[in-house]
Amino acid sequence: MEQKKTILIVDDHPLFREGLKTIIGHKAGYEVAGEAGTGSEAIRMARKLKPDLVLLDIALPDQNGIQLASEIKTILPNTYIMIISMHSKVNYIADAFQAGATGYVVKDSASERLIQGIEAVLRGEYFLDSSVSHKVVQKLMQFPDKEAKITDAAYDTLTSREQEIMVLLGDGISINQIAEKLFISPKTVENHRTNIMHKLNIHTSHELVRYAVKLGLIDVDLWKE
Amino acid sequence: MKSNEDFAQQSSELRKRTEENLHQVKNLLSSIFNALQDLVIVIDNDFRVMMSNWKDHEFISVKERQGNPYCYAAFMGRKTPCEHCHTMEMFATGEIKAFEHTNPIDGQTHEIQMVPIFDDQKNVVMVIEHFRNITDKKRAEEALRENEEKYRMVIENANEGILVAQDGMLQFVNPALTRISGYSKEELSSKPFSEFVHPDDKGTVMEHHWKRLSGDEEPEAYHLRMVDKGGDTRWLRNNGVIINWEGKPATLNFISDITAQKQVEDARRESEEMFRSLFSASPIGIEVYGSEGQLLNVNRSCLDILGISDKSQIIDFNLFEDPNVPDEVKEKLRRSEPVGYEAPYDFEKVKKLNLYETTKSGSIYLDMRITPFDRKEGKSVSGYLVQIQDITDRKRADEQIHTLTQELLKAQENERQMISRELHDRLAQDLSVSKIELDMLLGEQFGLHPESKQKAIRISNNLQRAIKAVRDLSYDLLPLSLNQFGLVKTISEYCEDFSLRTGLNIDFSSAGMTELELDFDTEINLYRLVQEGLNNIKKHADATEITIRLAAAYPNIILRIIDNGKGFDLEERLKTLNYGKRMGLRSMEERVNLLKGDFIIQSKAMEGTRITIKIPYAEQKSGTEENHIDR
Repeated sequence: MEQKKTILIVDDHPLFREGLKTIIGHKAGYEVAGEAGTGSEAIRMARKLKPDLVLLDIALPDQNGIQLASEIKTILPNTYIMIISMHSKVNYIADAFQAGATGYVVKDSASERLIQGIEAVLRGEYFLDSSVSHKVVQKLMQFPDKEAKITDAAYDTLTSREQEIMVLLGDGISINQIAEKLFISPKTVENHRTNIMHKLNIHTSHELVRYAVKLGLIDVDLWKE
Repeated sequence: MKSNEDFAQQSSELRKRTEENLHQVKNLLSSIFNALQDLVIVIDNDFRVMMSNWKDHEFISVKERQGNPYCYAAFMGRKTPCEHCHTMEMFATGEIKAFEHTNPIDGQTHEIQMVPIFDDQKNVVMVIEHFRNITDKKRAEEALRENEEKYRMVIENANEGILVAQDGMLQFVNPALTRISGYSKEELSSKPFSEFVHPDDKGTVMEHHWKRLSGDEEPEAYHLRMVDKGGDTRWLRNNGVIINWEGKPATLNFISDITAQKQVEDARRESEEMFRSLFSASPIGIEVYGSEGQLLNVNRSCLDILGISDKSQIIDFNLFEDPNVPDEVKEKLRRSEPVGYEAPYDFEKVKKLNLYETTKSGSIYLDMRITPFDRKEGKSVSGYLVQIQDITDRKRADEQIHTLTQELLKAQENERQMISRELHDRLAQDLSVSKIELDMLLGEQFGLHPESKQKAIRISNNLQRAIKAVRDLSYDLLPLSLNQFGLVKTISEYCEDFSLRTGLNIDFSSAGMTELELDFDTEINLYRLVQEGLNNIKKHADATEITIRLAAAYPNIILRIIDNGKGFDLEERLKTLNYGKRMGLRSMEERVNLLKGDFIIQSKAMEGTRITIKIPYAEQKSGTEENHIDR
C-alpha cells in the first residue's frame, strides 16, 4: 500500500483547522500529520514532521504566511506549500507564488476544490483557485508595463537632496536662490543639477520641468490664462 | 456973453467929462464882457455877429472873426444859414431858449442860452447867445454813468447775494439773492428781512445788524440760516459793512450760500466723529505709527489687549523694535507691503526688554494686520496702521477642535481596523468553516432528501456570497495589503478596483516612494486621502478622467488628485461647507492637518478640480543616503 501523504495545517483558527481536517480525512491517501496556530509553531512542526505538504494561512498572529512560506521552503525545499487564505487580491497570490508556494486556494471555495488543489500540488503542479484565476490572468496581461508605470525607476535613484533641488529647479528658482535657501554653494547646486539630469537622462531645463510636471512634483496651473 | 461962453465952455466940459465917464464905463463893460468865462455873442437879424468876446476864448473854434461875420460862416464855416437854425426861430418867436449842443466838428458840447433883444415895437432885433462849454462835465457824467453800469453788472451777475438793509427792510437785493432764497425781488423787499431768517437765528442776525449799524466792532463774517421759499433751511455766510444809503446809515451785506459746504462739513465732522468713536470703541486694538515706526496713537482695546493701564506708557514705542513682530514682517513693512498674520505675543520678551508696564504675563495669540499708508507709487510711507485682535481663545478652541477632529480620525481609523480584522479574521473564517462543513455534509452520500439537498446547496451558495461580502467590506475598511505590499501597490490596486467599479479612468503613478520607509499612520492616511478623494469625485464631480500622482520630493511627499469634472466655485464651496455638504473635502483637509501637511484646492467650473497635498516627512531614504558632504 502506498504511503499516505503527510499534511501540516497552519491556521490560527481552530474551527477552520477542524474543518480542513475533516475534509482531508474523508479522502484516502492523505493524513493530517499535525496542525499549528502560529508561525513559530509551524516552523517547529515542519522541522519535526517534514510533511509532504503545508497548508498555510496568510494571516497568522505572529507572522505573515507568505514570509513563512519562504522560510519553510528554505528549510524543507522538497515540501510543497499551498496557501489557503481569505485574501483574494492578486498581489497576495503573486507574492505567495514568489515565496515558493505552488498552490493558492481562497477560503470560501468549495471543499472539492481544496482537495483538487491538494492533489495537484502534491503531483508537483501549480494550482490556482478558479475563483481568482481570471483576476490573475487579467493582471498578468498588463503586469510588465503596469509595474513600470506606477513607479519611476530613474527618479528612485535620486538622493533626498537631489529630489529637493529638482522641485526647486522645477519651480523656476535660480541656482543662487537655491544655494541661499539650502545653505550650500551655487557650485554644489550646479553639481546636483548635473547629477539629476544625468540620472534622469534629460538635457535641458525645459525637459527637467516637463519631467517634474509628469511626476506631479510641481504644480502647473492649467487654468491660468 | 461971457456967460454963454461959460455955459458953452461948461457944457463942453460937462460933455467931455460925460463922454470920458461913458468911455470909462464902456471900457469897463467891454473888459468885463471880454473877461467872461463863457462865450457871449450878439447876432442881428441878418445873422451877423455884432458883438462877441470870442477873441479870448479858445473853447469854441471860430472860422471867421474879421469884421462882423455871418454866424454860420463864423461857427460852421458855411456860406448859407444852417437848415435848423435856433437863431432864426428866436427871431420869429422871441422866446428865451436853452439847450445843449454838441458840435460835430470838434466834439465839444455846449450849453447854449439865447436871449432876444426887442425894439420898441417888440420886434426881435438882436439875439444874445450865451455858450458855456460843458464838455468836461458831460464826459465826467458819462464816465460816472458807465461806472455805475459796471458796478450794476457786477452786482447783478455776482454769485454772491448782495443786499442793503436799512430800517429792518431790504432796500436792495441782487439777482443772486433771489436765486439763493427762491423769493423774487419784490417778495424780498416786501417785509422785514428778519422774517426770512431761520427762527433760531433771528436774534443773532438782528443783534449783528444793529451792532454793525451802530458802528460797534463786528466780526466780518458770520453764519446764519434762512428758510427759502421752498421751506428748506439754507446755510448762509454773511459779510457786512456799514454804508450810507440815501443819506442814512445802512448795512451792505454779501451773502454766500454755504449749504452744500456745510453739508460736506457736517458729513465730514460726523464721519470724523464716527471714526473717532470707532477708534476708541472698537473691540479691535488699533495702533497708529509714524513713518519711522514710532507709536502715535493707540486705542483702549489695544491697551486692554496688551495689559497697559495708560497710553503714556507706550507712546514713542517703536514698531520696528517690537520683539514680537517677526523679522520677515518688518522686512515687508520696510518694503511698504501690507501684512496680515497670526502669531503668538510673548509678554516675557516685553518684560525682559522693559518695554512697558503690563499686567499680562505669559503669551497670547494675536491676529495682526499692518497696513502702511500713503503707499502711492514712488511715495514713501507716512505711517502704519496696526489692527490687533486677541484670538487666543479662538486659537485654543481651534486647537481643541483640531485635536478633537484628529482624535476622531484616529479613533475612526482604529475602529475601522479593529472591525476589519474582526470581520476578516473571525466572521469570515467562521462563515468559511460553516460552509466547509455544509459542503461536507452535502458530500456524504446518505440520508439527505433531494429537496433538503437543494436547500443545502442554496445555503452553501448564500454562505459563499456572504463570505465574499464580508471580505470586501473588510478590505474596504482596511487595506490589509498595506503591510505586505506597501503604499504604492495598495493605492494602485485600490485605483484599479475603483476604476472597475465606477468606470472612471484613473491614471496613477508614483515616484520616489519605493525606498521610503513611512510609518503606518502616514501610509494609512495617504491611502485614506486617495480613497476619500476618489469617492468625492465619484459623488460630486461628474468626472471621466482622474489623475493621481504620488511623489516623494524631500522633504515632502506630494499627492495630487486631479479630475476633469464639473469643478466648483471655491466661495460657493465655503458656503455649502457650512451646511454640512462636501464634508469629504473637509475631512481630507483635517487628515492632512493630522499629518502636518498643506492642503490646496484649485477648482474651475466645467474644468475640474485639483487637489494638492504636501506632507512633510523627516526620514531619509535608507538605501541611497547621500555619501558626500555639501560644501
